[in-house]
Amino acid sequence: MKRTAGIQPFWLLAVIAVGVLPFSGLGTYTLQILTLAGINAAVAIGLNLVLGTAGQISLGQAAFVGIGAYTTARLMTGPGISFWLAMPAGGALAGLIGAALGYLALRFQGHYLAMITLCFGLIMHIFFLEFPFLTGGAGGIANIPYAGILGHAIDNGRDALFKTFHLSWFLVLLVYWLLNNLTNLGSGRALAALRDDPIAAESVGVPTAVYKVQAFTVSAVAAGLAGGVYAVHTHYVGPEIFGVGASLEFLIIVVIGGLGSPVGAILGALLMAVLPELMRSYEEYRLLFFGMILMVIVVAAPGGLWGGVSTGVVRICSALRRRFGTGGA
Amino acid sequence: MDLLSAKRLSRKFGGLWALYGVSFTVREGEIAGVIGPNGAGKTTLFNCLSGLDYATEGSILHRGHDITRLTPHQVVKRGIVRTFQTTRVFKRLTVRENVMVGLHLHSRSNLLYDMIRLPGAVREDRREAEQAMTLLEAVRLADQADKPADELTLSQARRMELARALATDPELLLLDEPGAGLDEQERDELGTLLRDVHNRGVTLMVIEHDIGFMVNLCTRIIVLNYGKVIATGTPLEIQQDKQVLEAYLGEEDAD
Repeated sequence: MKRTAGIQPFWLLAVIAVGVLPFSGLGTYTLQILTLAGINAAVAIGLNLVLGTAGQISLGQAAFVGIGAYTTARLMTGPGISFWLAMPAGGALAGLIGAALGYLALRFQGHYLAMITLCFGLIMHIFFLEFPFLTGGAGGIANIPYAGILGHAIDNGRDALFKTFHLSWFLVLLVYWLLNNLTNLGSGRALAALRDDPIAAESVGVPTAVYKVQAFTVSAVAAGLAGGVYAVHTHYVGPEIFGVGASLEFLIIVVIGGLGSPVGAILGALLMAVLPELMRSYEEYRLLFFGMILMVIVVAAPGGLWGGVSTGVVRICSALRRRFGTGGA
Repeated sequence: MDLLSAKRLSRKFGGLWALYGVSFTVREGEIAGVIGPNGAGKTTLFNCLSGLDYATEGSILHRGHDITRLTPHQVVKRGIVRTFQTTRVFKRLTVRENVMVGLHLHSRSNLLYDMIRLPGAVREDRREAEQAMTLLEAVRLADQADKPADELTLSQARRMELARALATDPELLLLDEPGAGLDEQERDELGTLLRDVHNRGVTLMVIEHDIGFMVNLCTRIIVLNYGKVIATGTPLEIQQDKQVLEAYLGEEDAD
């Protein structure tokens, strides 16, 4: 089991890497792509908790991103509240609504749950459209100010000291750390039990209802926080951004990356961001292409990218062991 | 002390009474057996007792308290835990982790504390891992602790389920056909194991088909047929009961 004394080298490296990467000569455009990938990754790690770890279908994740984004945008443009208050507020509101969706999830499973969460996404989309007073209606909210820290604007531009890339990827590290911590602890096991056999779990003392609601809540908070970062990155939020299509893309990211794996979610998000850049001329076929990858993964490699990588590593290690003999028991 | 009692417990499915007027008492320290032909309502009975299903009529009392309408989780909290006819393992967890899920009931683990990896939560986790090992040793599965649970043989999975149920620290264990699918030797070992568990102070209620097994194990047997109790008594009395014989062997030849 992992020792918890002191900070593990992995985290130190990760923090330093995220801090330093934007200054390593990557162009502004690349930074933009990677920043969006990070935002998607944070959302996907949250969705993975519900979908992969707890085994509950959720097709409305983008709505929570929207709630966080709109809240942050509204608070920053209207009353001029600081990003550092507005973003957590967006996350908290998303979490509250996520809890409500979680309560609904208690009564439905499988296909019905899929429909309920899908409808929830649609309802939020309509809400974003039809309440111009709050959301700016079809035009959305534009001219969202920059987030600031110590007097510096956070921006991916060449001269900026603090980049939105940092916001995005430090959020990813935070969400990853929090959710990955569950893996070897009681709550993670309870969620896995909930996924594998909810009846057995309940019959052995796991309060499945509590865990379902908590999973939905945490997932929504992650999405809401990511939405806040999105708002100060693109400086515009509109209803078309947080619709069903976006929810499906998050689903694809989680499944392609590997259901149940936070690392997989990050890999999936990176793939989803990088691939379109490589196939610039085939822009319209983007969703088709991802749909095909999704089908291949589901049929041939259910463990997703991460599953493939870890199985590959295991296979290579056993092959090496067979070749060079065991180095001693 | 009356640990568990059912009073005219009945369960109707559409037009069919799966249980009808079932009344019995299980006393603390007993090993109570439930036998009956297939379809007699034995599993339905356990479903009602454990909260998985609800009774149409009648009541279930635990130490005098009415527990008829409790959820499975609430029933487990009261110290009554059941196992299933088809072993239910948590496939994605190891054997040890499966047992640790059973410890969840009495742990103070909490999603928030686990997320931030509070030192107390980590210590608790370690303690649970050790406790799980102790339970696995008691069912002789310690060497399988790190195996994925879906790689166990049936007999091993049964023992793991038992360890997992014991992890909840129950006072009453409801075992639904624990011997199903086991061969003669495995069944003998199971009997010894159950007697061990009983000696540690757990009251048992067991559903089984193997009459010989039940006669050797149980202190009292309840016989169900077509959803009704047709006899209760010591194994000896049951073996001589005419109605029981008829239910199992068909009508006796006129002599």
